[in-house]
Amino acid sequence: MRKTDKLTLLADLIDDELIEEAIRAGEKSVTVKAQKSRFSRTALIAVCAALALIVCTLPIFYFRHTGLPGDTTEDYGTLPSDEFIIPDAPDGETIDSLDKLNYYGGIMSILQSEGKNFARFAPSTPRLSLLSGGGDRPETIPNVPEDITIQYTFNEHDTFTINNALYFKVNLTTSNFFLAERLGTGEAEVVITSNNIADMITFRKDGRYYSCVLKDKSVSGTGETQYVFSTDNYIDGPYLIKHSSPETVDFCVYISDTGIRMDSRKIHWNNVYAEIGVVNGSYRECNITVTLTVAEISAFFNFKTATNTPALDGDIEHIFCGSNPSGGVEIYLVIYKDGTLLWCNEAFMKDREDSAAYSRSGEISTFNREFIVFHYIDPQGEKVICNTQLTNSGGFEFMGMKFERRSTLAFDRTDGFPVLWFESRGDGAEPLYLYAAENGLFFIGEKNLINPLSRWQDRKPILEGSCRITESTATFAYFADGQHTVQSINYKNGEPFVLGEKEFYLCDSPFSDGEASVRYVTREDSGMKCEIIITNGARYIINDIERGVTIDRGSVRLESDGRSFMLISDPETGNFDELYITPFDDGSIEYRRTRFYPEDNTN
Amino acid sequence: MSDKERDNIIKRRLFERDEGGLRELEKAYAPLCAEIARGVLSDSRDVEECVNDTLLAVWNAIPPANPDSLSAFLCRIARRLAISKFRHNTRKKRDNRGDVLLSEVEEFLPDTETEADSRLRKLISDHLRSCDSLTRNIFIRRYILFDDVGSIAKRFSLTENAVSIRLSRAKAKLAEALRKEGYLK
Repeated sequence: MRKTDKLTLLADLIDDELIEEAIRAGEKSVTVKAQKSRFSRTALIAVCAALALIVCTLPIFYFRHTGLPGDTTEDYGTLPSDEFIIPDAPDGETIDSLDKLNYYGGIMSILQSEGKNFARFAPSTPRLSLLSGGGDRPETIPNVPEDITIQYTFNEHDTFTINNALYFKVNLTTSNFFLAERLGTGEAEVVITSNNIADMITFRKDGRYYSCVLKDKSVSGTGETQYVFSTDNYIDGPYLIKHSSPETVDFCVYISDTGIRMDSRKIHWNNVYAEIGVVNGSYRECNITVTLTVAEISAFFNFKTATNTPALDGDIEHIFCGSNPSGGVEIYLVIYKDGTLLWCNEAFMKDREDSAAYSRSGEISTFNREFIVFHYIDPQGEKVICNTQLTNSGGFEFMGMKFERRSTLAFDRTDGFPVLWFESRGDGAEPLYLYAAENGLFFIGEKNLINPLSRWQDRKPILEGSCRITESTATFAYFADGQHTVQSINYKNGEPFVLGEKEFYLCDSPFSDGEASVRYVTREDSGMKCEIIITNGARYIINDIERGVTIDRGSVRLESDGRSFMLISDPETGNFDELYITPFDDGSIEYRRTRFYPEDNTN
Repeated sequence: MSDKERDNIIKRRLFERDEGGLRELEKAYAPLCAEIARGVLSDSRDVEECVNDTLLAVWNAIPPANPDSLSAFLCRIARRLAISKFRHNTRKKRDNRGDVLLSEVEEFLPDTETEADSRLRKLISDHLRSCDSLTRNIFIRRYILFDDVGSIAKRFSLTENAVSIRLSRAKAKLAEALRKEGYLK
């Protein structure tokens, strides 16, 4: 019998389960190694510094590249920057998206493959076990356009197996139109991983992310490997999305023995190419298989963690709380009421006493006297009172409106009426805020809009449903005339759109740029009072107008003195044409109407 | 999604002759196959060829094959193909990476005429089960997955010496067990 036959035969003499165990055991141990580390942060810094010193003394050394699946194993380039890539988690963030999973998971795998299993784990690393409504994995996002397919949904209970990972930095310029729009210009980090979800590329700059998925891979005759990532298949928060768009952008990464380079191509009628400069032309890599959990990645990068404790008393079906090592109590809430998810939030409070006085009747009264004090909206009773911002970690439902995860939720009470708003991010764009009032009206605008919805005359709900906002599209789902309706709107700031029976303005231009828009103007019949709400949050009440003024639509322009606003009426109604308003610091305003109503002779 | 769930999805897609299943298979197991092939083949082109051949072989085998453990199934195919390639290369004096491995196996594995000697299989599997899990995993990684000693040491946070000692003890114990049962003289 030949030796090679013996070697072949050996595998047939061992049970599958033992082989499988050895395969898995090898993967797990990589993870476990990191968990076992118990270095302090000080030790970490010291080790980092020492290693950095060592690496600095070795200007160039070569390493073996195994790349993404199917790559050759030739020598490639020089080791890039010796700078450690161990970013700390930004305050208040959690790993709640595929972007972050790919970015942080990729870096962690690279560090582990380099043997840098430093003690990034806290002494006790509890696993996050909720934060997303019990780990449901919806097959689809509700109310998405038909041409969008959800291919995968992030779940923090999943394991993330990375087979290979690359890390490098690029310099974004305005010629990289697509990325510059989303991330801005300057140096950005890039993480590419081949993982059990997909082969993904993630760009990160200033806390913003853009990720998409591998479309094609090839090797040229010269041995240069090319990876093509396409925006056809992109990451949107927790979702991996396939979007059949006629206009896509490809990102091409080329790896050869001379290093790494990159460009982008806008695929349209005429392809547009743009170089994306790779800083140093070098990269770092992970060439082992690493299996990670979200909890492990969170702990490694010092993300917030929580320890579950038993539910508090009360009529709440689920409340999860966890301690925060930095003091106080970190509380994660999931409240189900009659089977309906009302909240899935995290918050911070120092005192758990007096918490959760709560009934099924529809009122959540004092939850915590120091922190969460909110009243569930009951149209006949108390209004919402809450000035605490809660970071939403999962979907929640409120007043029949379903909101998605990755939003920031807050309550406020202004002028006797409750206002709820949340923030939703587009693809790397500035956050947009959607405001919703008791009457179900929605309004999209900029941050810190004060009292945008009070005193609206029409309290008839016209929208009850969900809203999903991307950079330029708002998709609403709502019930109208007894039918479920989904409507997608391509919007442009400052321009109106019609939804249901109402016309809305989407305004997120700050006043400082010279323009703004009137959101709504009402009239109190008894008081001859006109309220003008302007999108930057200012609200002006004009008294002593002898005739009531009703403006359904209009716009405002900031005058050159920076204080006066010219209000232009709706040309359709023709109630008036121009009104100059000047606010003063003491709260008073001066107004001057430059053209009269047709029937008005008073001013 | 667990690995088992993923494997079941891949198998289902392979049964449906869905080429997407092949891509999933590649994504999940190409690195493992490459790792195995690298254990006995030194030429990267041979490794890549071996990985591709393994994936093709799985595509051709499933269906009708429906292995309980997809990873072990792939592992066996990858080994066979890698060894076959190694044999071919050795014949032409192209490669000697696997020689050390062969000589190690020679120490404890008997000649057997039947490829599926169920008694021998039970004996070896039971013996490995009786070992502590670390030793068992080191043994399998070395002789089934073809990891070199250095990689194993790194993977399990041991020194190379410690791995070598564990391997030699495991081999000696296995040889002793096989001797008792008359497989080795």
